[in-house]
Amino acid sequence: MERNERSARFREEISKLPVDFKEIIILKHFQGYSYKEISQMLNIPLGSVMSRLYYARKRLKDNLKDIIT
Amino acid sequence: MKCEELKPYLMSHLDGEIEPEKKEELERHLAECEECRKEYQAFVKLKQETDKMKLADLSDELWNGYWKGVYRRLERGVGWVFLSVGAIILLSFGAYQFFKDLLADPNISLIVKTGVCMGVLGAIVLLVSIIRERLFLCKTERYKEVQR
Repeated sequence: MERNERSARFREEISKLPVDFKEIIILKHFQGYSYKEISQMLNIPLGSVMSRLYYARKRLKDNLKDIIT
Repeated sequence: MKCEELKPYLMSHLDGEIEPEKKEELERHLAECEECRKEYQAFVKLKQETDKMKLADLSDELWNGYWKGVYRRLERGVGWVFLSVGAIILLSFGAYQFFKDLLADPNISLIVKTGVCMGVLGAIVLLVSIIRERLFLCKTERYKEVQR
């Protein structure tokens, strides 16, 4: 699969995520905020940042398993 | 450490934000647990792929969803502030009227007035104590230093 196609597929899968997951993926991956910054921006504990990020990435990984394995 | 307990730390390890002692513990576990190791490797690949993408790669639709979430949170914050202020004003006014009528009423005996006043005073002391405790906990809260 070409890079553009892969990017398009990633975009599509990110856009399908629930709002909470999409939000934390954008803040971490695309805006590069630290866990502490995200924790304060979303008003959630640091542990919740890590677990929400885990479930968000897990969902994304599972949905993209055909191209990232 | 059980697999489920360490899942969130896979993220902090992946993003280079893990504490040194937790890192050691996690790496020990990853060396022993094949399932977690495979999952971690898949997360590494996912991160490598998303790192190649840029902000510009995200569509307007996706950004709209993101900003809607931000606005929704702001709206709710403002809503809660107004609701709390309104409730405090109404409750204070109600309490003022209640005590004014109670103390002015000659038909109510002194003992009943004293009982009601003591009960309310006790409730206020308890409330202040709880608020003070919450504020103290807030001051010593672990992530207090978190700043945007």
